[in-house]
Amino acid sequence: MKHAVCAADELPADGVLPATVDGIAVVIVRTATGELHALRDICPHQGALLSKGSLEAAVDGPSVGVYELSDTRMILRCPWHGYEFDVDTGRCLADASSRVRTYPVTVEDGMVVVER
Amino acid sequence: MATDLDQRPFDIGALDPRTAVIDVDVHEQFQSLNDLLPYLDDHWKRYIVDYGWRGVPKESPYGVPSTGGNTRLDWKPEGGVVRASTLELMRSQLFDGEGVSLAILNGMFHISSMTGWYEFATAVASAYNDWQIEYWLEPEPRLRGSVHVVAHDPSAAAREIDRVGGHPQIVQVFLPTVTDREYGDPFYRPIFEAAVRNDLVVTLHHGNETKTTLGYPRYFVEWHNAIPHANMCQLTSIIFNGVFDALPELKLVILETGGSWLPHYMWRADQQYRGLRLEVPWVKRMPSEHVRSSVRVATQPFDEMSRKHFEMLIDQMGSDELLMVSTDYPHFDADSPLRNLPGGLPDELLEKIRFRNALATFPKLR
Repeated sequence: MKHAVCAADELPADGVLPATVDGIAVVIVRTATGELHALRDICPHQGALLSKGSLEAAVDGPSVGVYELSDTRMILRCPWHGYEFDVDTGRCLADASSRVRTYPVTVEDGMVVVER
Repeated sequence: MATDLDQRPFDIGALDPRTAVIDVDVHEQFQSLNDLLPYLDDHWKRYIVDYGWRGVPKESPYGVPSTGGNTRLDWKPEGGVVRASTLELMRSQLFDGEGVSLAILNGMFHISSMTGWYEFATAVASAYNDWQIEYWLEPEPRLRGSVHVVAHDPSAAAREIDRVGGHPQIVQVFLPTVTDREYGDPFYRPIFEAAVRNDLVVTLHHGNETKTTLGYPRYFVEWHNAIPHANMCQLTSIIFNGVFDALPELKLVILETGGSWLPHYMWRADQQYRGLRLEVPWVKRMPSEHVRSSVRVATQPFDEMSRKHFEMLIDQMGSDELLMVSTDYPHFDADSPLRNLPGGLPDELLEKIRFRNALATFPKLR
């Protein structure tokens, strides 16, 4: 079922917005390139609100001592312990067995719409 | 009894897994440094014969509080013979006395703890390796051995690994657990690469050079109790500097630290990695996954625990393939390989710990 969450222009240009969708805490993410993502707003570790964390570019390392900051892959870092979650897949970058639920999100008629 | 095994081909595959014991921590010793002279160039011989070099200086302040010193009392030879210095002693005390089928030699020769003069140290390491092969390995087919290297000159260490690593009875590279440098540093990577290309594991073992985070504490018991922590630090360095990611075929064996620390170690390292991964993005797997696929530990000295707690420990490790039995022959606190674990364990588990896990760990035992 689709739920209108807020007006699209209420979203920060490059940041997050906490919302409630059908009684569930969801964090809406808009990246600098304009992509939208919606994730459950609870860290699976100890339940912190991911919307209180930071939106950052993911970093990869092809070999020891080499850092490559992604142009496209963004992560939400939990405000409590720094766990990183891919905003597109919800997957924890360190632990493939841990992930945050994601939801389809679009803009329809100027409104941010989350499907749940 | 065992001497008639000289020259007889030894077939590991013919061992009965129900009773076979592979002891992964055995220490051979020379009578004196003079044993190495035939394997040294004349220039380096002078330092021992004429200039009085007496071996790697011992820095730690301790003596083992036992009338056997660091030797198990029932293995202390008579008549001034140096412990663990002859095949006859090892055959009667270890193979016959303890029911060991195959033993891996680790020496008592921590040349990597030398902090300089690497050309000389490298020559002595090569001499030791040649002596080990000629004096121990070739006369006794039930023995396997180590490449001793000067770790702080990694390119020379790699050359030595390539030089003797192809011997059919050499199965590992030996590194003492130094505590002033970290083996995960890319500086040391040539050693691990050389081990892998020669189908050798890398083995860590503490020695006099190993310090605790408090340095050398006031008493031996304090120092001995803290040994696992030093190995944990080196393991952490190796994991977070991406050694296992770069060399997934590598096996790291940690000796003489028991195994009960592993669950704690894996839980904590995983938790740290989940939160701090971005600092070490070249690490692609959880530390516990690296441990389960690449790290094995020897049992001795094994913490005393009930069968219930031992089975809980295996469950917490998430694998029954991490432990390998060891005696630490001939040291003062050596374990019996057949009596060191709680009674009543399943035969399948005992076969793994005493035999199958070592076979799976050392490529050259297969």
